[in-house]
Amino acid sequence: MHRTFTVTLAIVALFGATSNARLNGKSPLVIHVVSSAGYPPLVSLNAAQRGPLVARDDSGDAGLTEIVSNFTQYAESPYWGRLGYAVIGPKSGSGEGTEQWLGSPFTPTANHLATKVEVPVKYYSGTNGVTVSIYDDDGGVPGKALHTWGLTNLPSSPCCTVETVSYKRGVPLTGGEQYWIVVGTNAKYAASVAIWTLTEFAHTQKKGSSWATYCSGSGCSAIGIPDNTWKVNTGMFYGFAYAVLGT
Amino acid sequence: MSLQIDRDFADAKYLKIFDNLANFPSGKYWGGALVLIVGGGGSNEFFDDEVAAAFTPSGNHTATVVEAAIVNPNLGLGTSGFTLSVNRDDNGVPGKALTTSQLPTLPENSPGICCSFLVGKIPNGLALSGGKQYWIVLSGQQGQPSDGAGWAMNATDEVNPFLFATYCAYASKCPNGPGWYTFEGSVFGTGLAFAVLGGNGNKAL
Repeated sequence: MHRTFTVTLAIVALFGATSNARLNGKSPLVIHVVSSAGYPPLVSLNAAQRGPLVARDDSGDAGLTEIVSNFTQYAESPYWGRLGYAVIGPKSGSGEGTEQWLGSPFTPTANHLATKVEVPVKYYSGTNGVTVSIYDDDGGVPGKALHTWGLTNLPSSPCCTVETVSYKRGVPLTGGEQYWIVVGTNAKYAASVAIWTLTEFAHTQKKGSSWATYCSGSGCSAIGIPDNTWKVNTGMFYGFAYAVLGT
Repeated sequence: MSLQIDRDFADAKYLKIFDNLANFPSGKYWGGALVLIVGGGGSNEFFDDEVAAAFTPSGNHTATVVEAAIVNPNLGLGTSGFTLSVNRDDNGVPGKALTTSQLPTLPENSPGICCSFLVGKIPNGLALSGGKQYWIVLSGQQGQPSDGAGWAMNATDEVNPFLFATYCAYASKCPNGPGWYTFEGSVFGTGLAFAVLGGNGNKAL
C-alpha cells in the first residue's frame, strides 16, 4: 500500500532534484525545473487537459483591505501556475485512503476581520473541489479550523484566474499572531486531486519559504510524515500563492 | 559590449526598448524554470548549444544595455565558454551578430532561485530599427559540453507567448537535423526574461 501511494505521487510528480523536461520526445528544448533532493514533488497540470490562459480579474476585491497577499501586480502573471504541490483526497486512488493537505502560514500586522480568501488552486483529477480553511496556529503547525469553505469548479488552466471564497461574518484575526491557509479535502471532495500553485514574489524566490503538509493514512510513512500529522517543510525554494482580504 | 553580473541593476532611468522583467515585490523573473544549453555541440542529455530571445523595437532606438536572466543552473556543469550577442534576424531565426562579448562567468542565484542578472553594456550604443526583429543570443559554441547555462522565464505575462529559439547541435537529438528551432512559449513558461534598454531615435542600421 505504501508503494501504491508512492506510485500515485509519481504520476502527478514532475521532477526530482536535477531532472530535465523535454516538451515531448521530439522537441529539441530542454527545460530544467529547479528543485532539491528531499523536497516534496512538484506537480503540473496534464498537458492534454489544460484550459485556456486568462488574465486575472480582481475587480471583486474593490473596497476590501488586503490583509495579506503575495499575488503580483501583473494580471497576466499574478502567480506561477505551471507548477505547484498536490492536495490529494483519501479516495483519489492514492492508496489505502491516504490523503494530503497543504498549509501556508501568514501573520496579520494588525487586527482584522477576514471575509475573503483567494487561492490559485487547479483541478487535476477526480472530484472537482477542495476545502479552503483558515486555521489558528498550534505550536508552529495548523491547529484548529476557524472557518472552512468548499471550493468547486477549479480551473484546469495554468493561469491566471484566482479562486475565491467569502464569508460575510468574517473570521477575526489578531495582529502579530500566526494563522494558516489550508487547502484540503473532506468527505465531499474525497476523490479530488488538486494543485496549489506558487507565488512569484522576490522574497520567496530569494529566501525560500516554509509551509506544512498534513498526511493521513497508511501511505504517509512512504513520504516521511507520521500518520495524521502536520509536517513543516522548511527552506523550500517555493511558496504558495494566496491572499486574505477583509476589513 | 561589456558584461557584468548584477543582482539589483537600476534600470529605471533607461528607455525600455523591450522589457518583460517584473517590478518588486515580484521577483524580476521566474527562476524555477530554466531553458538549458551546454557548450560545444551539445550532448546526449542537453542537445542545444545556443538559446535566443526575439524582440522587435517599436521605433528606431539605440540600445545601450541588455539585461538577461541568464544564470548558472547549478547542475555541476562548468560556467565558461559562453558569449552574449545582439543579432540581426535571418528569416525568423538569429542571424549575424551585431555585437558580441565573452561571459566572464555565470551569475549565481544560490541559495535562492532569483534574481541575479547578466548585464551587457554597449558604450557607443547599438542602433536598432523600429519594426525589425532582433535577437539576444546566448551561445556556448566556443565552450565544452561540460559547461552549462540556464535562461529563466519571464514572470510578467503567462498569457501571451514570446518568441524564442534554441540551436539544436547534437544531431541525433535534433528532429530535423542541427539548426535553429523556434518556440512561442512552452509548457513551463511563455518565454525568456530579459530587457533591452537605451535611448530614442538614433540612426538605424
